[in-house]
Amino acid sequence: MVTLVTSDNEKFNAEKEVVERSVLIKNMLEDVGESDQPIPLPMFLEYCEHHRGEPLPAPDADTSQDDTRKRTTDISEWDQKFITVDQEMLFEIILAANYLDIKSLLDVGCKTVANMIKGKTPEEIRKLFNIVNDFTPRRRCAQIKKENEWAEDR
Amino acid sequence: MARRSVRLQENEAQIPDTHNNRRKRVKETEDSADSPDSDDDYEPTTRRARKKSKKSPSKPKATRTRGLLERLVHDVPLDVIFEIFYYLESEDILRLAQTSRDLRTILMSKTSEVIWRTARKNVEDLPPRPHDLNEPQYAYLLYDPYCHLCERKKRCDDVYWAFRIRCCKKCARKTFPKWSEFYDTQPVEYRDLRVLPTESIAGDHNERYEKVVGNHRIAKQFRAEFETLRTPEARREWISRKKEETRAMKKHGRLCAKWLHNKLNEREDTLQDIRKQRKNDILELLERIGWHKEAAAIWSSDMKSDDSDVDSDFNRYRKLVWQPRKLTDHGWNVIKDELVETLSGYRSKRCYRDLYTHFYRFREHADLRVPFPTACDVLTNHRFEALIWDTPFAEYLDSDILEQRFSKYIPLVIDEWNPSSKLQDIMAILRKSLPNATIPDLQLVTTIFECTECKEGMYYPEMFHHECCCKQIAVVNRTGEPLDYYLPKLMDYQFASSQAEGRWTSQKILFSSSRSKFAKRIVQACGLDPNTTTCTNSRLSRALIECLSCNEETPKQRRRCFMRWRCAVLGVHSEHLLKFDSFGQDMTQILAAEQNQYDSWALDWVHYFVNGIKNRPRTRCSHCHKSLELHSKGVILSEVQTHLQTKHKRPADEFSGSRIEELQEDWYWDPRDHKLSSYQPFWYTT
Repeated sequence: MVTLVTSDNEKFNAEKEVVERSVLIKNMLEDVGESDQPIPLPMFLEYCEHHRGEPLPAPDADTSQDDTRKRTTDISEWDQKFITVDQEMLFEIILAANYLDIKSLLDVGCKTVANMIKGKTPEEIRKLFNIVNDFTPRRRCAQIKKENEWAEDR
Repeated sequence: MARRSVRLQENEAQIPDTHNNRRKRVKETEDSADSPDSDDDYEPTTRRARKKSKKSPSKPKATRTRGLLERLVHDVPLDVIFEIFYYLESEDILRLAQTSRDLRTILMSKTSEVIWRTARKNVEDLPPRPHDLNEPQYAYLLYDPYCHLCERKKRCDDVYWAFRIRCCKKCARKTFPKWSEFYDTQPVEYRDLRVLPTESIAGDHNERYEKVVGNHRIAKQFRAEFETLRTPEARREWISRKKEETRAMKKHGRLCAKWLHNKLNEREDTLQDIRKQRKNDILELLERIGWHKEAAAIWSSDMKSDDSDVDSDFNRYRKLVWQPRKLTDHGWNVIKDELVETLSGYRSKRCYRDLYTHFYRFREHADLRVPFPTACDVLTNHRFEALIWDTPFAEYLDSDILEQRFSKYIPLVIDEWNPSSKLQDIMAILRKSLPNATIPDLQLVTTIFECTECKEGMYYPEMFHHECCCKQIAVVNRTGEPLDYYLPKLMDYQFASSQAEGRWTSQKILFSSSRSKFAKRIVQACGLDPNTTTCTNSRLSRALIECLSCNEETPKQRRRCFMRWRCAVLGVHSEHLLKFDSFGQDMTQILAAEQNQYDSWALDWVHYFVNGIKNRPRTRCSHCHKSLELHSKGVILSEVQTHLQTKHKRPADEFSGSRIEELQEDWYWDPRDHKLSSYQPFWYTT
């Protein structure tokens, strides 16, 4: 068993096999290192508990593949339910998954954000993610001319 | 992409200060975009230095909570952002780049090319990127849905692939010259060699066929390139290369056009599915509040061609329902009241329309020789108003229920309209001139009325169908709106039913003493008693009258004007010199001329009908009141005979050799059509 202490001094006990799904924690455990980075630990533990025993990706899994391979945004039912959280929590999960280096959880987070963006107009994206349109009309015209300069013909 | 190495090292060093971490990264991006290595095709990413605010620092500044995407962009390492973008398609990346400056800065930097490339490869069957466009330019051509020239915010699906432009037909016609005009301005060295790209644009209303067009901009660029070449070999090589490029461009364009066509079809299918789902969702919600049957009815009304009176309701309903947008709770709350209002309006119009149809059918078999109410008199009766306005909306009033209620109420409604009192109104008018007149006197030939408005003469009961007496459209008491607000086709129905449908009034009717005196002279001239001769008198009906005043004589021919008694009485012949029944050996030819004249009028009546004259001569059976719509007098006899034989089992030999006038007990002119049926004189030429 491993005891994890969060930044607000809350303690969680978990089996080593579970927490070692995080490459970061695995390395920490190997190196007996420490970190005070706050993380959403209960959700992290729930995710790792569910995926216990599944093979971990090879350390160089990403680099061994072509970056431009076709990607799908399919998410398993359990993961879909797990990741159905508000944007604040989704942000924390992505941050934590990235920090703790849990590739499968990071993938789920990224796919979820991608699914939120897909098929939306710029205005819908702005509305969804609370983004201010800081383009001036002039700039917009400039973009169009730039992007389309060869065919533009007046 | 290595997920761990650089980022984790960075994190280990700067974990607490994620914001600064991000700021540094954006700065690096900006620097890289400005560097000589950056791709010129991409948008410059430099920013102007922000001016210091002159406002007092104590004034609180409005703040905005950053959303997920912005926080990710600001606080998460770039490779995670890229990881998200890798799941998107080119269209999504293009739209992200149009969202904010920060996202654009990231996506338009050279390092993001891999994102665009990955996104493009995520799109099924998309032709490869052509060499003359960079990734964002290609995505822009493929996905930006508006005209690139006029930038109108109206969807444009016309892409001119060889010109690398998407534009509306109007801009295309204005911008691209016709090839026939364009050709002469191009260098002779390559204008015939399919070097210059061309496109076809659809013809406008003046030009039926597609036309081939060129592009000045491309031509100018080609000419500039060509003129820099000095040797014939270089020019030949250039022409050969351009020819090949143009051929490849055309081929690629065809692939793109096919891809776009499939995409648009898929899009339309998707939108259609969303619309259907929304419609079903709305129907489900309407079912909960009891309006679903009305909603189904308004939807199916679109299929009927004669439902233009509900078009506005249907269009309003369709606008709310048939949208390619998923229905949300908020959306439902926004449209609910308007939907119910629309359906409510449609319901009342539908009910009035159905009731009118039942009334129309009922009248077609009613006895019109007695006072009969108009559509307004009937439909504004309190029973029908209660039926329409007091029935709870959850109880759907379908056509069967309305027919059932109509059949039940119509005798009561007619009773309440009180034909007897209307008859007394007419009698009161008559008694002003003839104090001792009785009801049977209404049938006398000498009892003629006149409209004070149009001065037209008429017999009883024609005034109940006279236009001037039925002009006022009644008001629906429950709402205070005129009936034609709910029955917009009322005026059209008037046309179809040959009757003014407003509320009937006797105020415009007077007894016509002058016409009565003239009728008396005619009756006496026929050897009949004016105090007893009625309009159905067969002797009078057979009487043939010649108007000597109207006869025309030329050196070549003589045209004699003949008529029957109604024409003489109600026409313009009161001051004329008339001759009665003594025509000797010409009688047979005169009757044949009458027949011919009626036959030719049949054609005229068709002509009048088509041109909006609403009356058409009709007779009605005296026994069942069936309307027999006919074209000529000759046909009238045969139609009446056929009807009497088939419907009333009268023996055929009863009518052999009869003239129509001899069957007066079996038929009557439809009082709505009296004018055309009996006012016309005919001509006998010798």
